[in-house]
Amino acid sequence: MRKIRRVLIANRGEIALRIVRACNILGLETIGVYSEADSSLAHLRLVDHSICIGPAAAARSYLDIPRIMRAASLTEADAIHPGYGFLSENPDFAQAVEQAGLVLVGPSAAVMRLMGDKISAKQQMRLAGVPCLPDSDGALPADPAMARTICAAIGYPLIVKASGGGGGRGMRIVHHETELDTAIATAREEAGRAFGNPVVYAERFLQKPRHIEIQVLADTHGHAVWLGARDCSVQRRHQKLVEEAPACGIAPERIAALGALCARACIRMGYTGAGTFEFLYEGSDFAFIEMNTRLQVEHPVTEMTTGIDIVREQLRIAMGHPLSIRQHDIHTTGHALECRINAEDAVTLRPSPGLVTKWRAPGGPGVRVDTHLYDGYAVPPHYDSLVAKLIVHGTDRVDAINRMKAALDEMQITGIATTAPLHRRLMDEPAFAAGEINVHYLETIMGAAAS
Amino acid sequence: MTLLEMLDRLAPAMRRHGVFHLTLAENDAVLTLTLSPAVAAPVAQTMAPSVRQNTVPSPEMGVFRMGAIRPGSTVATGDILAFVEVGPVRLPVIAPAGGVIHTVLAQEGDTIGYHAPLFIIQSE
Repeated sequence: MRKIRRVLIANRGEIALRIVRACNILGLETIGVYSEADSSLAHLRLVDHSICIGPAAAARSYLDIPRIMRAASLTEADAIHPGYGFLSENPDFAQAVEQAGLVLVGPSAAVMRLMGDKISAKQQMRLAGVPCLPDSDGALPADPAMARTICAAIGYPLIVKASGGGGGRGMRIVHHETELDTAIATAREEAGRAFGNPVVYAERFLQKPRHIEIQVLADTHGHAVWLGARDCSVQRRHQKLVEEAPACGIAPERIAALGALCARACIRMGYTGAGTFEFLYEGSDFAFIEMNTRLQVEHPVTEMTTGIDIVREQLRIAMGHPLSIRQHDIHTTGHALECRINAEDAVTLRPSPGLVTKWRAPGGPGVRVDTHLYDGYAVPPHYDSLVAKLIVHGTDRVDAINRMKAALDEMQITGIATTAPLHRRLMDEPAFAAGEINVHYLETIMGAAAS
Repeated sequence: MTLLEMLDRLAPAMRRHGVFHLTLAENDAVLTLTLSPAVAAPVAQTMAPSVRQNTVPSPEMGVFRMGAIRPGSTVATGDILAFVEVGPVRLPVIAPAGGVIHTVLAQEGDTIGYHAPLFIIQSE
Protein backbone atom coordinates (compact mmCIF):
# COMPACT_ATOMS: atom_id res chain seq x y z
CA MET A 1 0.00 0.00 0.00
CA ARG A 2 1.45 3.36 -0.98
CA LYS A 3 0.91 6.16 1.48
CA ILE A 4 -0.79 9.03 -0.31
CA ARG A 5 -1.86 12.01 1.72
CA ARG A 6 -1.63 15.00 -0.57
CA VAL A 7 -2.51 15.11 -4.28
CA LEU A 8 -1.34 17.83 -6.64
CA ILE A 9 -3.79 18.43 -9.48
CA ALA A 10 -1.75 19.28 -12.56
CA ASN A 11 -4.67 20.61 -14.57
CA ARG A 12 -7.32 23.33 -14.74
CA GLY A 13 -11.01 23.90 -15.49
CA GLU A 14 -13.78 21.41 -14.95
CA ILE A 15 -11.49 18.39 -14.64
CA ALA A 16 -9.47 19.97 -11.83
CA LEU A 17 -12.74 20.52 -9.97
CA ARG A 18 -13.82 16.93 -10.71
CA ILE A 19 -10.54 15.62 -9.24
CA VAL A 20 -10.83 17.81 -6.11
CA ARG A 21 -14.29 16.34 -5.49
CA ALA A 22 -12.97 12.77 -5.74
CA CYS A 23 -10.05 13.60 -3.42
CA ASN A 24 -12.46 15.08 -0.88
CA ILE A 25 -14.51 11.87 -0.85
CA LEU A 26 -11.35 9.90 -0.06
CA GLY A 27 -10.13 12.38 2.56
CA LEU A 28 -7.05 13.31 0.52
CA GLU A 29 -5.51 16.79 0.78
CA THR A 30 -5.41 18.74 -2.46
CA ILE A 31 -2.96 21.15 -4.08
CA GLY A 32 -4.20 23.36 -6.89
CA VAL A 33 -1.72 24.78 -9.40
CA TYR A 34 -2.60 27.59 -11.78
CA SER A 35 -1.16 29.95 -14.36
CA GLU A 36 -1.29 33.74 -14.03
CA ALA A 37 -4.33 33.76 -16.34
CA ASP A 38 -6.18 31.28 -14.12
CA SER A 39 -6.18 32.68 -10.58
CA SER A 40 -9.99 32.76 -10.55
CA LEU A 41 -10.53 29.05 -11.35
CA ALA A 42 -13.41 27.53 -9.39
CA HIS A 43 -11.47 24.62 -7.86
CA LEU A 44 -8.87 26.90 -6.23
CA ARG A 45 -11.48 27.89 -3.65
CA LEU A 46 -11.83 24.23 -2.60
CA VAL A 47 -8.24 23.01 -2.47
CA ASP A 48 -6.15 22.91 0.72
CA HIS A 49 -3.26 24.83 -0.86
CA SER A 50 -2.72 26.52 -4.21
CA ILE A 51 0.27 27.96 -6.00
CA CYS A 52 0.78 30.00 -9.16
CA ILE A 53 3.27 28.06 -11.27
CA GLY A 54 3.91 30.35 -14.21
CA PRO A 55 2.64 32.70 -16.90
CA ALA A 56 -0.49 32.19 -19.00
CA ALA A 57 1.30 30.31 -21.80
CA ALA A 58 0.70 26.58 -21.20
CA ALA A 59 4.26 25.78 -22.34
CA ARG A 60 5.53 27.64 -19.26
CA SER A 61 2.83 26.51 -16.84
CA TYR A 62 0.63 23.41 -17.29
CA LEU A 63 2.96 21.81 -19.87
CA ASP A 64 6.18 22.70 -18.06
CA ILE A 65 7.45 19.51 -16.40
CA PRO A 66 10.14 21.17 -14.20
CA ARG A 67 7.61 23.73 -12.93
CA ILE A 68 5.01 21.10 -12.06
CA MET A 69 7.68 19.03 -10.31
CA ARG A 70 8.94 22.09 -8.43
CA ALA A 71 5.39 22.90 -7.31
CA ALA A 72 4.98 19.30 -6.09
CA SER A 73 8.22 19.52 -4.13
CA LEU A 74 7.45 22.96 -2.63
CA THR A 75 3.98 21.88 -1.53
CA GLU A 76 5.13 18.42 -0.38
CA ALA A 77 2.64 16.56 -2.56
CA ASP A 78 3.06 12.80 -2.71
CA ALA A 79 0.89 12.13 -5.75
CA ILE A 80 0.06 13.98 -8.98
CA HIS A 81 -3.19 13.65 -10.90
CA PRO A 82 -2.60 14.86 -14.46
CA GLY A 83 -6.27 14.96 -15.57
CA TYR A 84 -6.60 14.85 -19.38
CA GLY A 85 -4.68 16.80 -22.02
CA PHE A 86 -1.55 18.75 -20.96
CA LEU A 87 0.99 16.27 -19.47
CA SER A 88 -1.43 13.39 -18.93
CA GLU A 89 0.02 11.18 -21.69
CA ASN A 90 3.59 12.41 -21.59
CA PRO A 91 5.91 9.49 -20.66
CA ASP A 92 8.74 11.92 -19.82
CA PHE A 93 6.49 13.51 -17.22
CA ALA A 94 5.47 10.10 -15.84
CA GLN A 95 9.16 9.25 -15.59
CA ALA A 96 9.99 12.53 -13.81
CA VAL A 97 7.22 11.80 -11.29
CA GLU A 98 8.54 8.28 -10.71
CA GLN A 99 12.13 9.50 -10.36
CA ALA A 100 11.06 12.08 -7.77
CA GLY A 101 9.62 9.22 -5.73
CA LEU A 102 6.05 10.44 -6.20
CA VAL A 103 3.00 8.56 -7.43
CA LEU A 104 1.41 9.42 -10.76
CA VAL A 105 -2.32 8.75 -10.89
CA GLY A 106 -1.98 6.76 -14.09
CA PRO A 107 0.09 3.98 -15.64
CA SER A 108 3.88 3.64 -15.47
CA ALA A 109 6.09 5.66 -17.80
CA ALA A 110 7.16 2.43 -19.56
CA VAL A 111 3.58 1.38 -20.40
CA MET A 112 2.69 4.94 -21.39
CA ARG A 113 5.63 4.97 -23.80
CA LEU A 114 4.68 1.58 -25.23
CA MET A 115 1.11 2.70 -25.95
CA GLY A 116 2.13 6.18 -27.11
CA ASP A 117 3.90 4.73 -30.16
CA LYS A 118 1.35 3.69 -32.82
CA ILE A 119 3.37 0.74 -34.09
CA SER A 120 4.28 -0.77 -30.71
CA ALA A 121 0.71 -0.21 -29.45
CA LYS A 122 -0.68 -2.10 -32.42
CA GLN A 123 1.82 -4.91 -31.85
CA GLN A 124 0.68 -5.19 -28.23
CA MET A 125 -2.95 -5.33 -29.33
CA ARG A 126 -2.27 -8.03 -31.91
CA LEU A 127 -0.48 -10.11 -29.28
CA ALA A 128 -3.46 -9.73 -26.95
CA GLY A 129 -5.90 -10.70 -29.71
CA VAL A 130 -7.51 -7.23 -29.90
CA PRO A 131 -8.78 -6.62 -33.46
CA CYS A 132 -6.70 -4.20 -35.56
CA LEU A 133 -7.02 -2.86 -39.10
CA PRO A 134 -5.24 -5.16 -41.57
CA ASP A 135 -2.06 -3.50 -42.83
CA SER A 136 1.14 -4.19 -44.76
CA ASP A 137 3.00 -4.99 -41.50
CA GLY A 138 5.85 -2.60 -42.31
CA ALA A 139 7.02 -0.79 -45.44
CA LEU A 140 5.56 -1.61 -48.86
CA PRO A 141 8.24 -3.19 -51.08
CA ALA A 142 9.62 -1.36 -54.13
CA ASP A 143 8.53 -4.16 -56.48
CA PRO A 144 4.99 -3.27 -57.72
CA ALA A 145 3.96 -6.93 -58.13
CA MET A 146 4.90 -7.72 -54.53
CA ALA A 147 3.12 -4.59 -53.31
CA ARG A 148 -0.02 -5.66 -55.22
CA THR A 149 0.02 -9.09 -53.54
CA ILE A 150 0.33 -7.52 -50.07
CA CYS A 151 -2.44 -5.00 -50.80
CA ALA A 152 -4.77 -7.68 -52.17
CA ALA A 153 -4.43 -9.43 -48.80
CA ILE A 154 -5.32 -6.20 -46.95
CA GLY A 155 -8.37 -5.64 -49.17
CA TYR A 156 -9.79 -2.48 -50.79
CA PRO A 157 -10.37 0.38 -50.20
CA LEU A 158 -7.05 0.96 -48.51
CA ILE A 159 -4.92 3.93 -47.66
CA VAL A 160 -1.24 4.34 -48.48
CA LYS A 161 0.45 6.38 -45.74
CA ALA A 162 3.89 7.83 -45.11
CA SER A 163 5.68 6.08 -42.24
CA GLY A 164 7.32 9.27 -41.08
CA GLY A 165 4.48 11.62 -41.80
CA GLY A 166 1.17 13.10 -40.86
CA GLY A 167 -1.17 15.93 -41.71
CA GLY A 168 -2.55 14.28 -44.84
CA ARG A 169 0.66 14.55 -46.86
CA GLY A 170 2.02 11.39 -48.39
CA MET A 171 -1.44 9.83 -48.16
CA ARG A 172 -3.49 8.22 -50.92
CA ILE A 173 -6.82 6.41 -50.72
CA VAL A 174 -6.95 3.50 -53.17
CA HIS A 175 -10.32 2.05 -54.19
CA HIS A 176 -9.17 -0.46 -56.84
CA GLU A 177 -6.00 -2.39 -57.55
CA THR A 178 -5.69 -0.55 -60.89
CA GLU A 179 -4.96 2.70 -59.01
CA LEU A 180 -2.38 1.14 -56.71
CA ASP A 181 0.92 1.58 -58.62
CA THR A 182 0.34 5.30 -59.25
CA ALA A 183 -0.88 5.88 -55.67
CA ILE A 184 2.23 4.27 -54.16
CA ALA A 185 4.53 6.19 -56.51
CA THR A 186 2.96 9.59 -55.75
CA ALA A 187 2.73 8.91 -52.01
CA ARG A 188 6.43 7.93 -52.00
CA GLU A 189 7.43 11.04 -53.87
CA GLU A 190 5.34 13.29 -51.59
CA ALA A 191 6.60 11.59 -48.46
CA GLY A 192 10.21 11.90 -49.60
CA ARG A 193 9.77 15.58 -50.36
CA ALA A 194 7.77 16.42 -47.23
CA PHE A 195 9.44 14.26 -44.59
CA GLY A 196 12.74 13.21 -46.17
CA ASN A 197 11.60 9.61 -45.80
CA PRO A 198 9.97 7.89 -48.79
CA VAL A 199 8.85 4.81 -46.81
CA VAL A 200 5.11 4.14 -47.16
CA TYR A 201 2.83 1.47 -45.76
CA ALA A 202 -0.74 0.44 -46.50
CA GLU A 203 -3.72 -0.01 -44.20
CA ARG A 204 -7.39 -0.88 -44.76
CA PHE A 205 -9.45 2.30 -45.17
CA LEU A 206 -12.83 2.65 -43.48
CA GLN A 207 -15.18 5.07 -45.20
CA LYS A 208 -17.95 5.68 -42.69
CA PRO A 209 -16.82 4.24 -39.40
CA ARG A 210 -18.25 4.92 -35.96
CA HIS A 211 -15.95 5.75 -33.06
CA ILE A 212 -16.50 3.21 -30.28
CA GLU A 213 -14.38 2.99 -27.15
CA ILE A 214 -14.02 0.70 -24.14
CA GLN A 215 -13.34 2.10 -20.65
CA VAL A 216 -11.06 -0.02 -18.47
CA LEU A 217 -9.77 0.07 -14.90
CA ALA A 218 -6.73 -1.96 -13.84
CA ASP A 219 -5.16 -2.18 -10.38
CA THR A 220 -1.62 -2.93 -9.23
CA HIS A 221 -2.62 -6.46 -8.13
CA GLY A 222 -3.15 -7.89 -11.61
CA HIS A 223 -6.90 -7.26 -11.89
CA ALA A 224 -8.62 -5.43 -14.72
CA VAL A 225 -12.25 -4.74 -15.56
CA TRP A 226 -14.06 -3.10 -18.47
CA LEU A 227 -16.94 -0.69 -17.87
CA GLY A 228 -18.86 -0.90 -21.12
CA ALA A 229 -18.61 1.03 -24.38
CA ARG A 230 -19.07 4.64 -25.41
CA ASP A 231 -19.97 5.97 -28.85
CA CYS A 232 -18.12 9.20 -29.67
CA SER A 233 -18.92 9.41 -33.38
CA VAL A 234 -20.25 12.98 -33.26
CA GLN A 235 -17.02 14.84 -33.87
CA ARG A 236 -15.52 17.53 -36.02
CA ARG A 237 -11.88 17.49 -37.11
CA HIS A 238 -11.27 14.67 -34.60
CA GLN A 239 -12.77 16.79 -31.79
CA LYS A 240 -15.55 14.91 -30.04
CA LEU A 241 -18.68 16.94 -29.30
CA VAL A 242 -21.29 14.39 -28.15
CA GLU A 243 -20.59 11.11 -26.39
CA GLU A 244 -22.96 8.42 -25.24
CA ALA A 245 -23.09 5.11 -23.43
CA PRO A 246 -23.85 2.39 -24.30
CA ALA A 247 -23.16 2.28 -28.08
CA CYS A 248 -26.58 1.89 -29.71
CA GLY A 249 -27.23 -0.92 -32.16
CA ILE A 250 -24.25 -3.05 -31.16
CA ALA A 251 -25.09 -6.31 -29.40
CA PRO A 252 -24.00 -6.28 -25.71
CA GLU A 253 -22.33 -9.69 -26.21
CA ARG A 254 -20.01 -8.20 -28.84
CA ILE A 255 -19.05 -5.35 -26.48
CA ALA A 256 -18.55 -7.90 -23.70
CA ALA A 257 -16.22 -9.97 -25.87
CA LEU A 258 -14.23 -6.88 -26.90
CA GLY A 259 -14.18 -5.57 -23.31
CA ALA A 260 -12.78 -8.88 -22.06
CA LEU A 261 -9.98 -8.66 -24.66
CA CYS A 262 -9.15 -5.10 -23.54
CA ALA A 263 -9.06 -6.09 -19.86
CA ARG A 264 -6.82 -9.03 -20.75
CA ALA A 265 -4.50 -6.73 -22.74
CA CYS A 266 -4.18 -4.50 -19.65
CA ILE A 267 -3.12 -7.40 -17.45
CA ARG A 268 -0.74 -8.67 -20.15
CA MET A 269 1.18 -5.38 -20.45
CA GLY A 270 0.99 -4.41 -16.78
CA TYR A 271 -1.32 -1.47 -17.36
CA THR A 272 -2.58 0.29 -14.20
CA GLY A 273 -5.20 2.99 -13.67
CA ALA A 274 -8.06 4.13 -15.91
CA GLY A 275 -7.66 3.80 -19.65
CA THR A 276 -9.58 3.74 -22.88
CA PHE A 277 -9.22 1.55 -25.95
CA GLU A 278 -10.44 3.41 -29.02
CA PHE A 279 -11.86 1.56 -32.02
CA LEU A 280 -13.33 2.29 -35.41
CA TYR A 281 -16.46 0.27 -36.09
CA GLU A 282 -17.75 -0.41 -39.57
CA GLY A 283 -19.85 -3.22 -41.01
CA SER A 284 -19.89 -5.00 -37.62
CA ASP A 285 -16.08 -5.10 -37.32
CA PHE A 286 -13.97 -3.37 -34.69
CA ALA A 287 -10.49 -2.03 -35.46
CA PHE A 288 -8.17 -0.71 -32.76
CA ILE A 289 -6.94 2.87 -33.32
CA GLU A 290 -5.15 3.82 -30.10
CA MET A 291 -5.21 3.59 -26.35
CA ASN A 292 -5.65 6.69 -24.17
CA THR A 293 -3.58 6.09 -21.06
CA ARG A 294 -5.50 8.59 -18.92
CA LEU A 295 -8.91 9.77 -17.77
CA GLN A 296 -11.09 10.97 -20.65
CA VAL A 297 -13.33 14.02 -20.99
CA GLU A 298 -16.32 11.75 -21.62
CA HIS A 299 -15.85 9.47 -18.58
CA PRO A 300 -19.11 10.75 -16.96
CA VAL A 301 -21.39 8.87 -19.41
CA THR A 302 -19.83 5.63 -18.20
CA GLU A 303 -20.14 6.76 -14.57
CA MET A 304 -23.84 7.45 -15.12
CA THR A 305 -24.58 4.08 -16.70
CA THR A 306 -22.45 1.96 -14.34
CA GLY A 307 -22.70 3.98 -11.11
CA ILE A 308 -18.91 3.74 -10.70
CA ASP A 309 -16.90 6.84 -9.75
CA ILE A 310 -14.01 6.44 -12.18
CA VAL A 311 -11.88 9.24 -10.68
CA ARG A 312 -12.23 7.83 -7.19
CA GLU A 313 -11.24 4.39 -8.53
CA GLN A 314 -8.20 5.94 -10.24
CA LEU A 315 -7.07 7.45 -6.95
CA ARG A 316 -7.71 4.21 -5.04
CA ILE A 317 -5.63 2.30 -7.60
CA ALA A 318 -2.81 4.86 -7.21
CA MET A 319 -3.01 4.36 -3.43
CA GLY A 320 -2.34 0.67 -4.06
CA HIS A 321 -5.81 -0.65 -3.23
CA PRO A 322 -7.19 -3.58 -5.19
CA LEU A 323 -10.22 -2.77 -7.40
CA SER A 324 -13.36 -2.41 -5.29
CA ILE A 325 -15.45 -4.00 -8.07
CA ARG A 326 -15.28 -7.25 -9.97
CA GLN A 327 -16.47 -7.74 -13.53
CA HIS A 328 -19.70 -9.48 -12.51
CA ASP A 329 -20.58 -6.49 -10.27
CA ILE A 330 -20.63 -4.16 -13.26
CA HIS A 331 -23.94 -3.55 -15.01
CA THR A 332 -25.00 -0.93 -17.50
CA THR A 333 -28.31 0.76 -16.74
CA GLY A 334 -30.23 3.06 -19.09
CA HIS A 335 -28.57 5.45 -21.52
CA ALA A 336 -26.35 8.48 -20.93
CA LEU A 337 -25.49 11.39 -23.22
CA GLU A 338 -22.88 14.10 -22.83
CA CYS A 339 -22.76 17.39 -24.75
CA ARG A 340 -19.52 19.34 -24.62
CA ILE A 341 -20.33 22.98 -24.07
CA ASN A 342 -17.38 24.82 -25.57
CA ALA A 343 -16.79 28.58 -25.61
CA GLU A 344 -17.06 28.55 -29.40
CA ASP A 345 -19.36 30.00 -32.00
CA ALA A 346 -22.01 27.34 -32.72
CA VAL A 347 -21.70 27.79 -36.51
CA THR A 348 -18.02 28.48 -37.19
CA LEU A 349 -16.74 26.76 -34.00
CA ARG A 350 -14.29 29.63 -33.60
CA PRO A 351 -13.18 30.19 -29.99
CA SER A 352 -15.21 32.75 -28.08
CA PRO A 353 -13.46 33.49 -24.79
CA GLY A 354 -14.62 36.29 -22.50
CA LEU A 355 -16.68 37.24 -19.49
CA VAL A 356 -19.57 34.98 -18.51
CA THR A 357 -22.16 37.46 -17.31
CA LYS A 358 -24.78 34.92 -16.36
CA TRP A 359 -24.64 31.16 -15.80
CA ARG A 360 -27.69 29.10 -14.86
CA ALA A 361 -27.11 25.33 -14.74
CA PRO A 362 -29.98 23.02 -15.64
CA GLY A 363 -31.14 20.46 -13.09
CA GLY A 364 -33.67 17.77 -12.30
CA PRO A 365 -33.52 13.97 -12.21
CA GLY A 366 -30.85 12.44 -14.41
CA VAL A 367 -29.09 15.75 -15.14
CA ARG A 368 -25.44 16.32 -14.23
CA VAL A 369 -23.29 19.33 -15.06
CA ASP A 370 -19.52 19.16 -14.73
CA THR A 371 -18.29 22.74 -15.02
CA HIS A 372 -16.03 25.38 -13.53
CA LEU A 373 -18.34 28.19 -14.65
CA TYR A 374 -19.83 30.81 -12.32
CA ASP A 375 -21.34 34.26 -12.80
CA GLY A 376 -18.56 36.71 -13.60
CA TYR A 377 -15.97 34.08 -14.59
CA ALA A 378 -13.80 35.18 -17.50
CA VAL A 379 -12.91 32.35 -19.93
CA PRO A 380 -9.24 32.98 -20.80
CA PRO A 381 -8.21 32.71 -24.46
CA HIS A 382 -5.13 30.61 -23.77
CA TYR A 383 -6.54 27.11 -23.29
CA ASP A 384 -9.02 24.52 -24.51
CA SER A 385 -12.49 26.00 -24.99
CA LEU A 386 -14.44 23.40 -22.97
CA VAL A 387 -16.40 25.23 -20.25
CA ALA A 388 -19.04 22.69 -19.26
CA LYS A 389 -20.16 19.12 -19.81
CA LEU A 390 -23.87 18.61 -19.78
CA ILE A 391 -24.64 14.98 -18.99
CA VAL A 392 -28.04 13.29 -18.83
CA HIS A 393 -29.07 9.79 -17.88
CA GLY A 394 -32.39 8.32 -19.09
CA THR A 395 -34.09 4.95 -19.10
CA ASP A 396 -33.23 4.52 -22.79
CA ARG A 397 -31.75 6.56 -25.65
CA VAL A 398 -35.04 8.28 -26.54
CA ASP A 399 -35.54 9.29 -22.92
CA ALA A 400 -31.94 10.54 -22.71
CA ILE A 401 -32.38 12.67 -25.84
CA ASN A 402 -35.58 14.19 -24.41
CA ARG A 403 -33.81 14.98 -21.15
CA MET A 404 -30.93 16.54 -23.05
CA LYS A 405 -33.31 18.76 -25.06
CA ALA A 406 -35.00 19.97 -21.86
CA ALA A 407 -31.66 20.53 -20.11
CA LEU A 408 -30.25 22.49 -23.07
CA ASP A 409 -33.40 24.64 -23.12
CA GLU A 410 -33.06 25.28 -19.38
CA MET A 411 -29.34 26.08 -19.42
CA GLN A 412 -28.39 29.76 -19.69
CA ILE A 413 -24.95 31.14 -20.51
CA THR A 414 -24.66 34.78 -21.46
CA GLY A 415 -21.59 36.83 -22.35
CA ILE A 416 -19.88 34.17 -24.46
CA ALA A 417 -20.96 32.15 -27.50
CA THR A 418 -21.16 28.40 -26.92
CA THR A 419 -21.81 25.17 -28.80
CA ALA A 420 -25.16 24.76 -26.98
CA PRO A 421 -27.30 25.87 -29.98
CA LEU A 422 -25.51 23.31 -32.18
CA HIS A 423 -26.27 20.57 -29.64
CA ARG A 424 -29.91 21.63 -29.44
CA ARG A 425 -30.18 21.39 -33.23
CA LEU A 426 -28.43 18.04 -33.27
CA MET A 427 -30.88 16.60 -30.72
CA ASP A 428 -33.72 17.37 -33.20
CA GLU A 429 -31.98 15.75 -36.19
CA PRO A 430 -33.88 12.61 -37.29
CA ALA A 431 -30.65 10.81 -38.24
CA PHE A 432 -29.16 11.41 -34.78
CA ALA A 433 -32.36 10.21 -33.13
CA ALA A 434 -32.24 7.09 -35.32
CA GLY A 435 -28.61 6.48 -34.36
CA GLU A 436 -27.51 6.71 -37.98
CA ILE A 437 -24.22 8.41 -37.22
CA ASN A 438 -20.58 8.01 -38.17
CA VAL A 439 -17.47 10.15 -37.70
CA HIS A 440 -18.38 12.33 -40.72
CA TYR A 441 -21.99 12.93 -39.65
CA LEU A 442 -21.52 16.25 -37.82
CA GLU A 443 -19.43 17.79 -40.60
CA THR A 444 -22.12 16.77 -43.10
CA ILE A 445 -24.96 18.47 -41.22
CA MET A 446 -22.83 21.53 -40.42
CA GLY A 447 -21.89 21.77 -44.09
CA ALA A 448 -25.55 21.52 -45.06
CA ALA A 449 -26.40 24.38 -42.69
CA ALA A 450 -23.60 26.58 -44.00
CA SER A 451 -24.58 26.25 -47.66
CA MET B 1 -12.77 67.64 -14.89
CA THR B 2 -13.53 68.52 -11.28
CA LEU B 3 -11.00 69.85 -8.82
CA LEU B 4 -10.95 66.55 -6.98
CA GLU B 5 -10.10 64.67 -10.15
CA MET B 6 -7.18 67.02 -10.73
CA LEU B 7 -5.79 66.41 -7.26
CA ASP B 8 -3.36 63.73 -8.43
CA ARG B 9 -1.73 66.14 -10.84
CA LEU B 10 -2.00 69.30 -8.75
CA ALA B 11 0.17 68.23 -5.86
CA PRO B 12 3.20 67.11 -7.95
CA ALA B 13 2.87 70.24 -10.09
CA MET B 14 2.87 72.38 -6.95
CA ARG B 15 5.98 70.65 -5.68
CA ARG B 16 7.71 71.06 -9.03
CA HIS B 17 7.03 74.76 -9.13
CA GLY B 18 7.71 75.41 -5.45
CA VAL B 19 4.11 76.37 -4.66
CA PHE B 20 3.23 75.53 -1.07
CA HIS B 21 -0.23 76.96 -0.75
CA LEU B 22 -3.09 77.05 -3.23
CA THR B 23 -6.78 77.90 -3.04
CA LEU B 24 -9.12 77.13 -5.94
CA ALA B 25 -12.85 77.69 -6.22
CA GLU B 26 -15.29 75.83 -8.44
CA ASN B 27 -19.03 76.47 -8.25
CA ASP B 28 -19.82 76.28 -4.53
CA ALA B 29 -16.71 74.30 -3.60
CA VAL B 30 -13.41 75.67 -2.42
CA LEU B 31 -10.26 73.56 -2.41
CA THR B 32 -7.31 74.59 -0.30
CA LEU B 33 -4.04 72.72 -0.65
CA THR B 34 -1.07 73.18 1.67
CA LEU B 35 2.00 71.10 0.96
CA SER B 36 3.96 69.73 3.87
CA PRO B 37 7.70 70.35 3.85
CA ALA B 38 9.71 67.68 1.94
CA VAL B 39 10.99 66.15 5.20
CA ALA B 40 7.61 65.54 6.72
CA ALA B 41 6.41 63.10 9.34
CA PRO B 42 5.56 59.59 7.98
CA VAL B 43 1.82 60.16 8.54
CA ALA B 44 1.85 63.26 6.41
CA GLN B 45 3.77 61.33 3.74
CA THR B 46 1.14 58.63 3.40
CA MET B 47 -1.52 61.33 3.12
CA ALA B 48 0.31 63.22 0.42
CA PRO B 49 -1.23 62.53 -2.99
CA SER B 50 2.16 62.41 -4.69
CA VAL B 51 3.12 59.17 -2.94
CA ARG B 52 3.32 56.15 -5.23
CA GLN B 53 3.25 52.54 -4.18
CA ASN B 54 5.10 49.90 -6.15
CA THR B 55 4.36 46.25 -5.58
CA VAL B 56 7.41 44.07 -6.13
CA PRO B 57 6.53 40.58 -7.43
CA SER B 58 8.53 37.40 -7.00
CA PRO B 59 10.54 36.59 -10.14
CA GLU B 60 9.66 32.90 -9.80
CA MET B 61 7.89 30.17 -7.86
CA GLY B 62 10.13 29.15 -4.97
CA VAL B 63 11.08 29.71 -1.34
CA PHE B 64 11.31 33.27 0.02
CA ARG B 65 14.66 34.16 1.60
CA MET B 66 14.64 37.39 3.57
CA GLY B 67 17.67 39.70 3.54
CA ALA B 68 18.31 42.74 5.72
CA ILE B 69 15.33 44.63 4.29
CA ARG B 70 12.55 45.36 6.79
CA PRO B 71 9.54 47.70 6.78
CA GLY B 72 10.93 51.24 6.95
CA SER B 73 14.19 50.40 5.13
CA THR B 74 15.19 52.92 2.50
CA VAL B 75 16.05 51.37 -0.87
CA ALA B 76 17.27 52.58 -4.26
CA THR B 77 16.27 51.39 -7.74
CA GLY B 78 18.12 48.14 -8.51
CA ASP B 79 18.75 47.19 -4.89
CA ILE B 80 18.39 43.52 -3.98
CA LEU B 81 15.50 43.28 -1.54
CA ALA B 82 15.53 39.52 -0.91
CA PHE B 83 16.02 36.21 -2.72
CA VAL B 84 13.77 33.49 -4.06
CA GLU B 85 15.25 30.03 -3.90
CA VAL B 86 14.54 27.90 -6.95
CA GLY B 87 16.22 24.58 -6.25
CA PRO B 88 19.96 25.34 -5.94
CA VAL B 89 19.57 28.82 -7.47
CA ARG B 90 18.87 32.01 -5.50
CA LEU B 91 17.15 34.61 -7.68
CA PRO B 92 17.34 38.22 -6.51
CA VAL B 93 14.21 40.27 -5.91
CA ILE B 94 15.16 43.67 -7.29
CA ALA B 95 13.64 47.04 -6.35
CA PRO B 96 11.95 48.54 -9.45
CA ALA B 97 12.00 51.98 -7.79
CA GLY B 98 13.64 53.76 -4.88
CA GLY B 99 11.75 54.60 -1.71
CA VAL B 100 10.81 53.25 1.67
CA ILE B 101 9.67 49.66 2.26
CA HIS B 102 6.06 50.00 3.34
CA THR B 103 5.12 46.31 3.69
CA VAL B 104 6.85 42.94 3.46
CA LEU B 105 4.21 40.48 2.25
CA ALA B 106 6.07 37.20 2.79
CA GLN B 107 7.96 35.62 5.64
CA GLU B 108 11.33 33.88 5.65
CA GLY B 109 10.93 30.34 4.30
CA ASP B 110 7.48 30.88 2.77
CA THR B 111 6.59 28.98 -0.38
CA ILE B 112 5.63 31.61 -2.91
CA GLY B 113 4.07 31.43 -6.33
CA TYR B 114 5.16 32.87 -9.66
CA HIS B 115 4.85 36.69 -9.60
CA ALA B 116 3.41 36.66 -6.06
CA PRO B 117 3.62 40.14 -4.46
CA LEU B 118 6.53 40.34 -1.97
CA PHE B 119 7.12 44.01 -1.09
CA ILE B 120 5.34 47.33 -1.31
CA ILE B 121 7.73 50.24 -1.85
CA GLN B 122 6.47 53.72 -1.18
CA SER B 123 8.16 56.36 -3.29
CA GLU B 124 7.63 60.06 -3.86
